[in-house]
Amino acid sequence: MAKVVILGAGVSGHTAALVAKRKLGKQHEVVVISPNSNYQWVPSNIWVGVGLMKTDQVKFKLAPVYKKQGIIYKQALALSIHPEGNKDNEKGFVSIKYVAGEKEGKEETVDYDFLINATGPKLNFAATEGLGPDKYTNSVCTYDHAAHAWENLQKSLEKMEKGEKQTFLIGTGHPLATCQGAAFEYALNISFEVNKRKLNKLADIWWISNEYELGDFGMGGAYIKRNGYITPTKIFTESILKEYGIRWIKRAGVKKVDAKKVYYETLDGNEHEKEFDFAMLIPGFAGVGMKAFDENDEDITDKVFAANGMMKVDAEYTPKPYEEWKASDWPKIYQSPVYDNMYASGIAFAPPHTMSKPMQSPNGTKIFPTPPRTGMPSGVIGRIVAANVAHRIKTGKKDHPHEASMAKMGAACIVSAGYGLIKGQAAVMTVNPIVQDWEKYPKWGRNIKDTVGVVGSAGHWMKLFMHYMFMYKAKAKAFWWVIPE
Amino acid sequence: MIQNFKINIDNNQKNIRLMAKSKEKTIPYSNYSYATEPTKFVRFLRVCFSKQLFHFFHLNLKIMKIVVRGHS
Repeated sequence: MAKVVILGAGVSGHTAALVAKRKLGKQHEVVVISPNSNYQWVPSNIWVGVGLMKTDQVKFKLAPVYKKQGIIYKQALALSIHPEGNKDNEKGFVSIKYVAGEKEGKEETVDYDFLINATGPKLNFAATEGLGPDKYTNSVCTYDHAAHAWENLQKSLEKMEKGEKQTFLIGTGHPLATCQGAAFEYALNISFEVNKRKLNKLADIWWISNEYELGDFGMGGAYIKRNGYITPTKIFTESILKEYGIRWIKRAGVKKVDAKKVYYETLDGNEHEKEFDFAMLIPGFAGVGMKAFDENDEDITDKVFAANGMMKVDAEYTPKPYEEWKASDWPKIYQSPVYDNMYASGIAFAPPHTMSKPMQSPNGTKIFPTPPRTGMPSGVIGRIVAANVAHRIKTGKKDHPHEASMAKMGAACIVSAGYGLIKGQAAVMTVNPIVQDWEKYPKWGRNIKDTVGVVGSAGHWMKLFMHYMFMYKAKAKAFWWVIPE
Repeated sequence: MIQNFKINIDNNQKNIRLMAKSKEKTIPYSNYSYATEPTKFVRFLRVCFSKQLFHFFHLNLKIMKIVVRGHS
């Protein structure tokens, strides 16, 4: 009997757990270790943040789902990985600390034959002074953050109803932050809610971003086929913002926030300030800070993890200039180059480099988006990693029949811009592949035939449809495996 | 290159201050003024049921193809 341990129960970890158990059956053990008791469908947090959904609609308890599937679930925090074991353990193991229940606070070790690290990111609010829901800004990164953002947004709306002007500042809260898509979506939804209440004359809504040009979204921008033209996403994004009455500040690295102002540096090296009444700024992401030790309990964290705390996998990490980046630098099977029974899935893997061109101000501040790996790619990676592990266990072979390079897989981004079957709209963008491949597609970097950029009710229906479909799938209800990532 | 950044961003900041005065009025040379805007007809098509119903199935199919083709 083999034992597969999965760290994390987000989109990638949860998908990996369900796929692994389905493929391996009762003969093998699948263990999920996560400090969270709930699964959350992160894309719908935006709707929680504007009061259109309750937190219960975007989350559910993990324990009953895992019990039904025969997956062992430990609500605990993974502290360290010991891939070689040690004097007390022959096999590789993970040390964990329980965060809830009878065992709360207790530490134990969990050995494994295969380890899938899908811990996701640490929301690094501490990297920007004054950032975060405990300080001066809001967040929609988790359902409780989004609920808190809605409480604060209501206060601003109430003030506007009394005739008070309000400035909303939405965007990235760190010079290297990613997930522009989520922040962009939140800005559009705030504008929609303000207009719905006929308060737009009193609202000053701003988008602040570390992108060189709007529409970069951490993937170096894209070209889309639209109205008889091949159009850069810059045009598409600016047009949507203008339509929703949102002004923008680009090339901005937010460095500090206080109760009333955001302090940021632009790529020219100048320092600026922007006042706000309500701010939702996405933090920088980092690895969760797990350590790794060898059989002699020597620290090998640098060998297993990259400097940002994400796990190294089968990518080409040799530093090289932007002009020399290749699609083949990106990993295909997400296997650790040091320990062949360890994999990293979703946001937990260290990308070889960014997708957007690195930029630096004359003061040395790096201001550009880091690569997004959320949603669809996370789910796909979780699926193929679990499928490969199951293949290795069942056949005893070391090959990997399943591959999913971000330089080969496509993705869709559905940015809702309002809610309601008739009034709700969304911008739908698809790119294929996610990482530009300038060798294969020298003209546009991607397959232009697969690239879409449209706005309309259909997008909103899709977003709603996907919410219910993916919640159904994550609950592992009948025929869940038929639904693709 | 850095000088170009400086000029662009100085203009950007200037335009931002100008834009803050009015949303309705187009401020010439502001970055806001260079953005495209949909016409009434385009806005109508965005909520036109038959067109959007076609889009719904077309886009779902397109996304499904991209996802399935993207991994083995």
